[in-house]
Amino acid sequence: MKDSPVLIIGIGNEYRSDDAAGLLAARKIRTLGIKGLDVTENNGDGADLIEKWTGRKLVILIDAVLSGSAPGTIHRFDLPGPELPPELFRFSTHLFSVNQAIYLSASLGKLPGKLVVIGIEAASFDAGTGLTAEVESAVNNIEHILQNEIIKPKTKGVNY
Amino acid sequence: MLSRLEKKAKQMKSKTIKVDYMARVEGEGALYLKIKQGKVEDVKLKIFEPPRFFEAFLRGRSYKEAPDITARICGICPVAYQMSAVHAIEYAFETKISPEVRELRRLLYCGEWIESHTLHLYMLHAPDFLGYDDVVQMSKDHPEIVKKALRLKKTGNDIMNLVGGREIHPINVKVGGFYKTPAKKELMAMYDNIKWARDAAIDTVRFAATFQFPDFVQDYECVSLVHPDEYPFNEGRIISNKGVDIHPNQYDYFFREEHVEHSHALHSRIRERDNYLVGPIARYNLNYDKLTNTCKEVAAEIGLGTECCNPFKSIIIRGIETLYSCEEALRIIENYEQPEFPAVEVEPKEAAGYACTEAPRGMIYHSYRIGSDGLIEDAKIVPPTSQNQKTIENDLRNFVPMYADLPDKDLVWKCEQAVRNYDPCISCATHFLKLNIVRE
Repeated sequence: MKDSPVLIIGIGNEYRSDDAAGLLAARKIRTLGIKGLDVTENNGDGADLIEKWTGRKLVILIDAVLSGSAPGTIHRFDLPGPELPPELFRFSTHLFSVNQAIYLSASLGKLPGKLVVIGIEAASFDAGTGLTAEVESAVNNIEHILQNEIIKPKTKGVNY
Repeated sequence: MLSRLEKKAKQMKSKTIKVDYMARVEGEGALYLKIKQGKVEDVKLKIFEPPRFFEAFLRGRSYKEAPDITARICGICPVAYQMSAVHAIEYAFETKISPEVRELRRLLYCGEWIESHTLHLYMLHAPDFLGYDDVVQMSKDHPEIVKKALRLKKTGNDIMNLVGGREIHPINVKVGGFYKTPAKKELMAMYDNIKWARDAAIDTVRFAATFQFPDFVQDYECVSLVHPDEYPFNEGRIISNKGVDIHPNQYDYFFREEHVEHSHALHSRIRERDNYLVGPIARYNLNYDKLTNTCKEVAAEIGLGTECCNPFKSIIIRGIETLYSCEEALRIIENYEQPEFPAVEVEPKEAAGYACTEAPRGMIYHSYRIGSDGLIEDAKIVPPTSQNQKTIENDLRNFVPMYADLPDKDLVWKCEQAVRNYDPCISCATHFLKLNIVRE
């Protein structure tokens, strides 16, 4: 089956509390059944990310981050663009990290046309299942992010 | 050797170094080194995460959930956890799987070894030997090598995807077999790419053999599964080069885990002796005769010999095992016949089960006690990294004096490289790894 031009990647570990935010957001998006959109999950393995996003026109990557902001805060980074703060994604399960995947992709000419990184500020990375209330609320609000990233640009004539 | 090291140690000045996050080691933990007059006074590999979360989480769950839950312990070696879980539970229920299912499980393990070994060899460990901070830097000078590595890794992912149902956290494995088995033509569709991967693996071994290795040979007690007919993945007796020869159901009698104050992960040791080594070097030393002719020829070509006790050369053996996995995958696909039933019927009963399989990083042990209702009453999981933890500390104790006069940054690099010899999946046992060196 041919890949869709747009890919949503949810990153995380569902047994590390809020680290599951990206995964759960991706699963929520999958239930919306938006046409022309693939949804996949990743555990933070950077090499796998490169494989998944190479050749796509738009990739939206959703991951839990820790910056000191209020839990549930949404951060957004656009690539190509300024460098990502490396400390944000330190809670990736594997240290061939999201950041390294981005920079390795750039070095090898394998970045997607546009990459939007959505960081959901986490409160807890403790072992266990279930999100904290603020993060759960942010995940439930993920449709609005999609509205801004995909649906609105399309109506403005941006061709993905 | 020792007197040279002692001499060097005496020449050392005293100082303190503190370094935080250790790069390119999966997961999180910390390493503490105290160096006095060039000698390592103290070395502690610290692990923070409550290690028994998954064991507790399994209690009260159906035996059917164990493969999927344990697969979540590690994204890099989910097959190892799944396989150990299903074999232990099948042992408990006296379930006999079909030969075809057994072969498919070996094929799934081939995928995991190719994927995991390639990730570690090229992305995490090779930059150490070539003098790069990381693979991003390395890719600027060697883009074709990195592209080839990504394709080789993807070949492993493709196998896991087809047989396991999904490359990260495969979902197709069940107690008694699989939920669904692939058709022969689906496997054959991967055949030519695996042939390419086999050639790429030969190049990989030759590439790793060009690196400079420190003269660092250790006297290890190597522990691995040994099977009479095959290089070990799923099955075999637990053998050591110093006399252990047991079925996995005797693991707890011969090995014990002890709590150490500095780490939440338990240290493993052989009850009658001390620490031991699991992983590629241990497997190679105890199973060289089970490798394919191509593996032996390539090993001979690069002068590896039939035994290796230099942990830095583990990177070469990962290449050899990647080659073995490609050849084994080709053999399995050539002979494959889709089984009539993807799984056999399983009849739960009150019982205990034990199994070891070989994760890319080394032997992994699972045991379960299951009630007559099929619910798990108790589970024990001993991942390879916690088994190697004390051996990693011993390596550093012996290795650091050889380089104690290096500038701080270079010494940290050497220590990281020594830890990475073990491809430690700290996330199996824990999360982050920090490095602290104190010199006095």
